[in-house]
Amino acid sequence: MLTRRTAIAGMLGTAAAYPASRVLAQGGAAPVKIRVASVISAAWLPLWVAKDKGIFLQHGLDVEIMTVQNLSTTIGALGRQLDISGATAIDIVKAAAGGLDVVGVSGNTFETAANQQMRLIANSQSGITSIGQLHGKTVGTPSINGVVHIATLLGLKRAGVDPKGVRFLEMTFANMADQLKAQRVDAVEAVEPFVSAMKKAGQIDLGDPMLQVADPVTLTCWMANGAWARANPDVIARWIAALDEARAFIAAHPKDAREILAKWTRLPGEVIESIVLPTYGTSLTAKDVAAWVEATRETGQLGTALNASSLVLK
Amino acid sequence: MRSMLSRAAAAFNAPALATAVALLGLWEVGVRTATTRFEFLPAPSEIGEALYGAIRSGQIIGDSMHTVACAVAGWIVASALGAAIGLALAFSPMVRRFFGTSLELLRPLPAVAFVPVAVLLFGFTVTTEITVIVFASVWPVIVNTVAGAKAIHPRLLDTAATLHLSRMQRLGKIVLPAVLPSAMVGARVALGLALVVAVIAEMVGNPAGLGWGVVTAQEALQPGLMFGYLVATGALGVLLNACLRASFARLFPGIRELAQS
Repeated sequence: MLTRRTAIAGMLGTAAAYPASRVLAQGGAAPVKIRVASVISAAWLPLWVAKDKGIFLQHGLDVEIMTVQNLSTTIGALGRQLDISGATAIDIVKAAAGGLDVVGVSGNTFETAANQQMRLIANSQSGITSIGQLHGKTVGTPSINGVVHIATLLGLKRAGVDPKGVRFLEMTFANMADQLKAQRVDAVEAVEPFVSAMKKAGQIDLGDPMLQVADPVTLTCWMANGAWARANPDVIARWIAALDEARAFIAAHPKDAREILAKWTRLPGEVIESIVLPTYGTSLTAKDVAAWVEATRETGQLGTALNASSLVLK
Repeated sequence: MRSMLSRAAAAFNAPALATAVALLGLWEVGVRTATTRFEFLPAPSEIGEALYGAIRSGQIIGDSMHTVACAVAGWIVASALGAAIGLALAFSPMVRRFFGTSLELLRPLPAVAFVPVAVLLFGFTVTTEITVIVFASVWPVIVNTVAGAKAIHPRLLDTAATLHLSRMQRLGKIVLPAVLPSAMVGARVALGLALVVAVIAEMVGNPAGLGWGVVTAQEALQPGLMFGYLVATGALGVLLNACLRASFARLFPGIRELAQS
């Protein structure tokens, strides 16, 4: 865990590694301090790489990272205690539907047919082999009405299953394998690296309902308070540039990147070695968010009219 | 020194220890012989190993210090606030008339429901954590203080009036000595609650301490360490209660209620 002591040591180390001439590369000005929240998941690796490799400082940003348990709790803190927070497109849609001024400022990870992070996994003893057989069954979900859940609702609907005929139970990703094994649930909405472990244990892959939303589709992104983001376009531009550079670093130095992942997630070595990293990208357009607005509406979870272009920083 | 040792020997409960060891043994055998092995139900030996590693690295010590500091800070505020509110409710009809219903409405609400509100006001900070702890642990102190105040025999107050004692004299010579045992019992209950709520607040509101340790161990797929954090929380609860009992017994030797476990 990142303690105050390690954070201070990290900052001192960074200061030593990156002399003032580089830190103050942005026209000689002191770096802009921004406070950023994320959760513990491989999705946020570009953030940690940009921080640990001093890429943010090179772009004139002094980023303070706060790791939280649930990103949906950060929405209220945006523009106050936080400047930017990790999010899913659904978080932005829900915040906007609730009348909050929140915008997506950049993309982070994408779900694609070539790199699928999400899966519906069924118990091998349940006899379930397709999503269409989930009627009357119990499904474990990480978050009711979260991004993974909305994708599942859409997948069920398009497979001809009434989502109201399925019982959903909230549980953490880490507990899903045990719940499936104990047959407390018939299927779970899982993501990597848990998907690989469950498939290895012989559980049944029912497919990736997220690709029903779009392909490729935005899975995670970065959000900010609208007023703050509109007032700080330069900071957002630097933020995106730093994340793009971090993404390039991950592609060029996979071993170093996985070391950083191990440091921040504390996952066991074998998991770090085998984990399939998501597809990273900073692009976030109105079309990306519109796909989720449409999915949310189609599943009956959105009653208000939303203009996707107003949910993304122009 | 000899009296301390004899007290420790008298406190040693061999049957309880034997029961605990037997239960741990059953747990160990059960996990090792089970046909289905659950990832997040480790054997006690794995938990012990993870806990030992976390103690040696200092990780769990630092986290424990954070949690205890927040729990104690919240408990001190809750105790002072609870005693003041309790006395005001017991002796002021006006306070009772204006605030009694509101307090009764707030009392049954779960403290964890206030975490999002506290995060909104104070961010993911220690202030959030302490605010939630105070909210949860103030109620036993209020309730016990009111009960203690209401149990004061009217004749004592009549005597105070006959002797023309001032309001402060009445408070110091009659009310506080009468209320103290009951208020202290409330404070003891509040301390246990403060620790539990501190861990919960750290899990969802302030990412630090033992609660956050539980979350990160779970996310890091380290069930042994996750249970190790829970063991540490339980041990701290016992330790804090023992410290409080010892402190109360020394400070207020005449109050029997505080010496009871």
